[in-house]
Amino acid sequence: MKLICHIIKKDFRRLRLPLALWLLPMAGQFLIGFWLLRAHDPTPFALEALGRTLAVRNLAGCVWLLWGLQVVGCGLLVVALVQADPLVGGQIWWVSRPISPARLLSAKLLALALFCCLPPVVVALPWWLFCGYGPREILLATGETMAGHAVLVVLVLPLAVLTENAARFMFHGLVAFFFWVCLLLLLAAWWPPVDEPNWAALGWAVVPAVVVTLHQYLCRRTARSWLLLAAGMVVIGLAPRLVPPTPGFWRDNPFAFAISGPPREAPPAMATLTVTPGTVSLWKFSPANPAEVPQTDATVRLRFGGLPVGYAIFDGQYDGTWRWPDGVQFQQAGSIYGDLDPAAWSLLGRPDPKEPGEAGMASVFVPDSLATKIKRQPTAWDARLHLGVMRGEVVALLPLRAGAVGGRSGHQIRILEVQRPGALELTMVDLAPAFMGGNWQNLFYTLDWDERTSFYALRSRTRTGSAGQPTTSANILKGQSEQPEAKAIKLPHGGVTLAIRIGTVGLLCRLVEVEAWEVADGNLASADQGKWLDDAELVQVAFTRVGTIERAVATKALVVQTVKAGTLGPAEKP
Amino acid sequence: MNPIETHQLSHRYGRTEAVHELSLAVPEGSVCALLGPNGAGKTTTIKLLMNLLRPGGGTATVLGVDSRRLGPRELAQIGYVSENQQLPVWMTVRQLLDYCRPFYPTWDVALEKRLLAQFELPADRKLKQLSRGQLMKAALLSSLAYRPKLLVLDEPFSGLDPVARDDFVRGLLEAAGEDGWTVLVSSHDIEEVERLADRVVLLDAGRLQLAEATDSLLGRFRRVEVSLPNPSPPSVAPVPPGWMALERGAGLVRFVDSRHEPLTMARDCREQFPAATVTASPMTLREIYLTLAHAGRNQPKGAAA
Repeated sequence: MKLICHIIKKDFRRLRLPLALWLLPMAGQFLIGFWLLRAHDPTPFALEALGRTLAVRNLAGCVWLLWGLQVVGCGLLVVALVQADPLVGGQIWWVSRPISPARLLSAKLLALALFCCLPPVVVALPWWLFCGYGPREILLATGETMAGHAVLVVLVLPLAVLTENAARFMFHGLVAFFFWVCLLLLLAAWWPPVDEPNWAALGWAVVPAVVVTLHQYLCRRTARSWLLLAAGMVVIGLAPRLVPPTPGFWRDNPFAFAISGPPREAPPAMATLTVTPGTVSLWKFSPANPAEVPQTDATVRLRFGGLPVGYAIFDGQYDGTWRWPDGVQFQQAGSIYGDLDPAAWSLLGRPDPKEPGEAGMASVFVPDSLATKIKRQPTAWDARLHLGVMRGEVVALLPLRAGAVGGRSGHQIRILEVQRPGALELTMVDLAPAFMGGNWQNLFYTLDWDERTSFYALRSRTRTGSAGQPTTSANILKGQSEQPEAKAIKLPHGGVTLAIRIGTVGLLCRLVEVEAWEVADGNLASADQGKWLDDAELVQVAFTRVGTIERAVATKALVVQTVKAGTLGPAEKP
Repeated sequence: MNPIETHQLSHRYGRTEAVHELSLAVPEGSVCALLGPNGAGKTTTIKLLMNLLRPGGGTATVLGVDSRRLGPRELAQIGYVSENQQLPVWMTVRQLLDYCRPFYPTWDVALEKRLLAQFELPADRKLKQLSRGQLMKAALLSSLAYRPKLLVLDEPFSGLDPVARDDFVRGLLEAAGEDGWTVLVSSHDIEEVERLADRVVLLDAGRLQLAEATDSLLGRFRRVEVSLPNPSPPSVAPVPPGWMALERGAGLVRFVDSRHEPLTMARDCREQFPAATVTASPMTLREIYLTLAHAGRNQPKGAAA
């Protein structure tokens, strides 16, 4: 071990400057993050929203660029570290010294862990603490950061051990890439492509990378190592085709770790849940393409009863059957959409002022002829529902002033700017862990992450309503949770001006503009708004998926409540 | 046990046969010079011995261990210096020594300091900033300071000026002489080798041409000049087998006797040149090498001297 440390010290002495340079892009990302989260007037987000500057988008581009530099730098660092004691060539210095290959390999692996995996964690730690990470999030972020860099290291290693300098590494890297593309094209010509997530491809790639690295270190048989690498690439290309992935296995994403752990059975409290089908709404859509068959969206309204306080049915699937007195029946599966607002309001101590009871929709597209039958004859409907259960919690209560910070471990909300030129303009940032662990599918495409579904409201701390409770405004971001695609799009109210991921922290920057709003006890006169706001605070209710529950429902005759027609394509949902 | 032994050792670079069934032994305590023209297979042989290349055939044993299985224990007793070695040139001389020291249990700090002073190396200068001679001295120093049992030098004198070469050889002789190390040195610089070597191995085209003690070699070869009376009758007797590089001129015949034995040579000369005056003079290693090299070119491949 002493000699292993001795070799590591030698490598550190040589690579300390490149190592420091490599950490600069990472530190740069965090500096941008610190700057973005500094409360000042006007914030870059506000300027961006007003279209006066492109600063934020440029900064987002900078973060991407720095991230890219970090990745490239890590690769070059691996190459430099390995090639400090090369394994290729007939004049290798260390081979004539009493250094065993196994000892050198141990030293290099330890050095790679110390130089490439540990420093990013050390550099990121202040940033994580600043963003409100608790011990659990720091542990997860450390794991993800180290694992991400370890995967990168492992993927670079085979080429690094098979080349003697950086120029040859680049050249052989290009050759290997060209070989890989040709191989994939060749395989695609013979086998249909497999919908394989990126994390699975990475998993396949790690195995030959490790084998080639170990073989070259322990045997120094370069030609045979190249053959192994080529064979490994063929295996990576063939494996998902020869062993087709189980769709559920891919979809369920075994590496995912949600903020509150993986989904599990619904809590016992949900045993009281009752579901009653209510009315059915029919929305007829004429497709944009006349060649397509017109369809109708049949939405059965569901009433959820016995929901515990704070719990909501948010989504799900159902297998349903439409039945008619003439014996005709039609089976179809569809989606269930729920509403979180009642649960949020129940946590805030009052009923949902806007939604009267019916809180769920079982929606499906049915043929036009079936819609006509539903309209004309009494329709019985029975279904088996698979319901996704979410639990809401009040996670942040913070005063309406710039610089206010609320939230709890792992989830923070910061108010950067408050303007009240009549209406209320609020610039705030949601900081939440944005681990790639649950999003490997999107690793190379969008760097997306699961946004935590939230409900935001303004609540007066001193003013009380008729029931003696603090008066609360409407959900100021109503619609946000239902429009995840609204990320990075400027919305007139509650728009997300920037969604960016910096060092496992997702920054979701919102510019909220509230011109007039209602409180739960009734409309607030414009003249009173200013006073009302003086002691108002921002409340955030965040929802976490806690499990699934199944229910069977049946009704003998659905009441057709609304029949509407749309002229847009079927993608346009009500 | 000989520190170095090879048996039918062979190696190819593609279609080119660099070493062909080489069998040789370097006795313990000897300084063995590996000589041969460019492309003779000297460096390849050394690389095979040092496990820098894998033999295509045959075996090489170094310090009693198959060269392919040389481990830290054996390598801690072997010093290797090569003109083309990829030294960690980003290190200073001191850093190189500091790095090497912990790997060798027998590292002699006093010897290190003595050699550092003797070689006049700038300890705090990076290896890449050193001259070629200084670089070779640094490499030698890092290979001598642990008093290796076996020292393998591949073209250590190439590119060195006479002063540096002299320093190098003196340092080597002093260090090796103290402990009776075994040294295998390949070189084109035959004058320096003559000072060092007590045994000579001659390679040509990957084949062993000669392996002999230097004294025996020097004693065996003589340059012979025969002054003939005018007119002299042409010789009808066959040329003895040990005579090489035979040159005939007007009244003078020159040749190299590779199996010199005074009485035999006098008898053979009398048979060839009955009334001639014969003068035999000793040869240098360089002259012997050149004679053998020229003779080797004129021989069919595979015919050893």
